[in-house]
Amino acid sequence: MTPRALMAFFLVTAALSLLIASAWAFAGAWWVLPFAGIEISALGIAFIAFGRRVGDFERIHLDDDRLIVEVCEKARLSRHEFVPAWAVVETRRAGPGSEVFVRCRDRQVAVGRYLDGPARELLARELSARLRAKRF
Amino acid sequence: MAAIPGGADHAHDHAHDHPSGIMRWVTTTNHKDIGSMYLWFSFAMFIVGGIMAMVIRAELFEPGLQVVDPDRFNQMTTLHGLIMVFGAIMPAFVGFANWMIPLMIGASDMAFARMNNWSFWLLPPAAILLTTSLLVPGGAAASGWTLYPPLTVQMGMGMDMAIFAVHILGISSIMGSINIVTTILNMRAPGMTLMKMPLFCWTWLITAYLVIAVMPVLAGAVTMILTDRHFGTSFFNAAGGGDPVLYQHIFWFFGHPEVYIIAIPAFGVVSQVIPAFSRKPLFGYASMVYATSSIAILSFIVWAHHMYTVGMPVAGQLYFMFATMLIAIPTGVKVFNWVATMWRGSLSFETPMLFSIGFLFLFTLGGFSGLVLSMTAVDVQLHDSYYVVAHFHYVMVAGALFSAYAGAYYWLPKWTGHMYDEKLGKLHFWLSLVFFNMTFFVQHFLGLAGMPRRIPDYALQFAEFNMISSIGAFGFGLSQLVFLVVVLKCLKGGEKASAKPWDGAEGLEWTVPSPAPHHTFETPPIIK
Repeated sequence: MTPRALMAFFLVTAALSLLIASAWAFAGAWWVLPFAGIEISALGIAFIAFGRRVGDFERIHLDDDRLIVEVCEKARLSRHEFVPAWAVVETRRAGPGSEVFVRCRDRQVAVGRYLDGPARELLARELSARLRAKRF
Repeated sequence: MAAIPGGADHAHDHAHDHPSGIMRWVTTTNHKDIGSMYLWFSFAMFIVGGIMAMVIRAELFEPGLQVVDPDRFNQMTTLHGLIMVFGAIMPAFVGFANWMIPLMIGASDMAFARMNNWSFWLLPPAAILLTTSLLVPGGAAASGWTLYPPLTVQMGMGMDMAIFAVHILGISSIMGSINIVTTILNMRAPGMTLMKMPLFCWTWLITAYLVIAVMPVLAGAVTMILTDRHFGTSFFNAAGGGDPVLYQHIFWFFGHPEVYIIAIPAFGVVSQVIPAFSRKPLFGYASMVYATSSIAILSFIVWAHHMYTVGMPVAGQLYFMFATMLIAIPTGVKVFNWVATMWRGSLSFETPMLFSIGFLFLFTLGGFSGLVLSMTAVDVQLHDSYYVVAHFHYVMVAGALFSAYAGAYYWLPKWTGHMYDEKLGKLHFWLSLVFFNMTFFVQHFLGLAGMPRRIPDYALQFAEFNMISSIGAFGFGLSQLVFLVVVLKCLKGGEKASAKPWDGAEGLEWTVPSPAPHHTFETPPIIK
């Protein structure tokens, strides 16, 4: 659904819910109104949260001179550039799962955050192997 | 609709890489796990609510008090209603939604996987609050599931526990609905327009919208009861200048759409099953969507037909009567479309189809008794009688529950990877059909003869029909254990199910292997 259509959906829902709640408030049952407000806010927050994350991505590019990791999160794009010969891939335990980082001296960036555990481990293995191949 | 499954490699399943044991279920964010938990929870609550129904029917087996005292009887009727509506039927359809919506629209999971986990785990505390309220001083709420004041203003701690339970269940429903709306609107596979969506998804989209619109009304109503009880307000307390009838209006403004919150997903399930076993596409897809939407819209403007007897102007009675009768039009469209789908189809009568046809007959019967009750002059005679009890059990049990069984048998091979025992399934259906009618059809006669509902004892003239009804209820209760046996057998083993075990079934859920792998549609399929 397009953002405009989603906004229209939200506005119609909010208008209906608040209209119902206002009518009951007018009849004396004003407690309905705050609950409607909370609920519509929750729906709005859900749509915004989803909308902000919907374009998130990670892109990893490796050539002879550079390892580039692009991370787009909440509509903000960040670009991390490493020298392949100096970059290492680290897997760290985090709770029941693990996190994968590309690190070069004091700079690091998490990768594979949108993958499940096994796919993330596969990414770590493949990236390490390719970085090793660049060194020798 | 032709679907090209995306490059998703379903052959490898990563389920073994996830936490195992109890922690798998506590921490899971997988829509299939959460769907399974919802379904098991709803069945457990169905058994608990069913045991309460057995207590009620044992008490009514013959005239004279024999099993429980009148106050405990009222607690049983109240908790039976609350547990069945909020604990059994609603979670059952949320379970179906969790399992099937992502599979049907080609999404990898629900939009908010963690929130999905929270929405489920709110349910057990609410169930504990409701059931343990029987043990506190003064017992559980005994006002009926509608929680009408002034009774609710007067009761003990059990009433507060019921109010908190309703709040928690409401929060869970809202979180679930927000998740479903966001998932359906945003995560459909490329090419799947709204009008290409399986009807089950449409019905859930409309249901979720209804939940979002009316849950604040229920939350407000029970909160006002709470403040009347403990904080000196007088919203519904006539002694303080409040109006108990206002509560009835508020409750039924929520309560009538609630009927459709339960019934509309049931329509969705039946709309998937009937075409599959008729080997024909659903007749009048677009009209089904519009009829379902019309039912949802009309459900907002008919609430006072539940309360004709509290006193309202004749113009009001006329309005609510005609508005209520209007619902028969879109409902008729749906019933005729299901029948037209079967017309000249290549029908076969496996258990899901049997339950769907059972639904079709009995829900229509419940609809007709609803039409009878919509007439003010008739309703004034039948209000609070067993006729009403018979009517809503035809809608809720033969309607919602039969459709839930249709869905469970239909998708069980997809969930477990095994075919269920068809003989046992059919036995379950026929026993349920016979005992259901034995229990509830005679209640029409009891109501017409003037037997009021929610009474633990009755005049001798009602004895025979009550005895028949009670025997039917015990039979119906026991028949449900057959379903448990079928599911357990199916989980344990049985004939291996193919990806598409029903040759007439259509939809993306049948493009993935059976049982559906832990992760599906990691790459969305393309719909042409």
